[in-house]
Amino acid sequence: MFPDPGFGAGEGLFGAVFALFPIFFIAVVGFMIFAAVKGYQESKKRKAAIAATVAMHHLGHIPEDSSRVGYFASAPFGTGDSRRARDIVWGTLAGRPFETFAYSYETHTTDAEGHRSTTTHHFQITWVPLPGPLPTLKLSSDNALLRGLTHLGARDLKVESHDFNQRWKVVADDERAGHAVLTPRMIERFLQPDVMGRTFAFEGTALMSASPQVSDLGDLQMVVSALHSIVDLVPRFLFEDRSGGQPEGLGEAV
Amino acid sequence: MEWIVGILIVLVVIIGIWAIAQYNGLVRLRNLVQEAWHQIDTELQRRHDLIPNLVETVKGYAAHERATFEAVTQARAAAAAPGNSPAQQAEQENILTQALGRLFAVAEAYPELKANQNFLALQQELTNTEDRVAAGRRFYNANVRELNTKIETFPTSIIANMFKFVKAEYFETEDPAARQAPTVQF
Repeated sequence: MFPDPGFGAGEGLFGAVFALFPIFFIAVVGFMIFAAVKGYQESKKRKAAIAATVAMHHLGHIPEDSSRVGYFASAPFGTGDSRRARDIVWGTLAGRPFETFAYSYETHTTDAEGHRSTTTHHFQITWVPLPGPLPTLKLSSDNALLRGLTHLGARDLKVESHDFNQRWKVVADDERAGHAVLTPRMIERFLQPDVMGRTFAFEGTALMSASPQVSDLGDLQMVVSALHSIVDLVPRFLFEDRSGGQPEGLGEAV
Repeated sequence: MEWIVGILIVLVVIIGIWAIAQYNGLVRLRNLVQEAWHQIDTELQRRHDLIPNLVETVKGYAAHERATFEAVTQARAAAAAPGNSPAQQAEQENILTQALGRLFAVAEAYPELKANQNFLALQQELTNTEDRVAAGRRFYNANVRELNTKIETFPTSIIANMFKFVKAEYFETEDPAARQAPTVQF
């Protein structure tokens, strides 16, 4: 006899949700399509910029090479799976040799409900040869993004500059060699803005730098110049104490 | 009652393990500091050994600059004397660096000397050795800093005092790379 006072309100709410769901679904799909198209356009733009840089400086270029993923042991290498090295560019700039490529790997996480998600991590790797081999020395900007890439529990080399210690985490296989590399001028070099936000690794006969995003090579000249300026500041006696040689694979396609 | 004894035993064992770890850490650092100092000493000896030859080469072109040569020779003798502590050695090396600076300033006035291959080789070798000394100094001082910090901070200071660990001296020298050859104007 008396109608349920809640019955009408519940039906109205359910009806509203039912009506809004298609709109919400279309919005989500639309956004995904937009993101995919935008991503494709960005990739196309990036490839065109790389092609222009290669042509302008008479550089070598190959689209992909799996051997590059094993070039280095320092971060970001050696982590994750589905590792790829793409858009390998090499040659000389201002008479100094270099090589650069886009590097990516995937990591997977599973949540409490068993849903697996995959994250792809992208980096731009640039490296230059050293006059001789050095013990491995890694420098990472001391920020949350890059801190996780350094070896857990490894000793952080401290120098006499408080600013440097605040900005950089330094891990060395040979601490004596590490202190030898970190001369006052080298420390000053690493306080310049053009090296911030990157990781650096002296490994074997190469100095490698990783940026946490893929580049269209617009900053290539700056990066290569920065790397060579760092190499020039390494005391020569460190190379004289060890045998020298060119690293393998500079500019060689597999 | 028994569980109280058990807890006390566990606590004693934990403290004992911690104390042993701290002691071993201090011993390791002290040995590292000593080893680093021996390495510096080797490079300093190498530096001192280069100087007589350098002085003789410059004498061949500027024999009348007697005061400069004597200053270098005396500074070298003082620096090469055994038994200096790191702080004393640093002071002697700084005096020697200043004397060498005046020697190179004299050499600037003699173009023939500057072109002499023996002189150039010695100068390069000296620079090389001074780079090694500087590198050794940074490594030594980094370990001294760590050792002294451990000795001073609580609770490691308890173990340090108990086993008579003493703070090490820093080795502070002038950076020879900052030494610029003066511009000689005629």
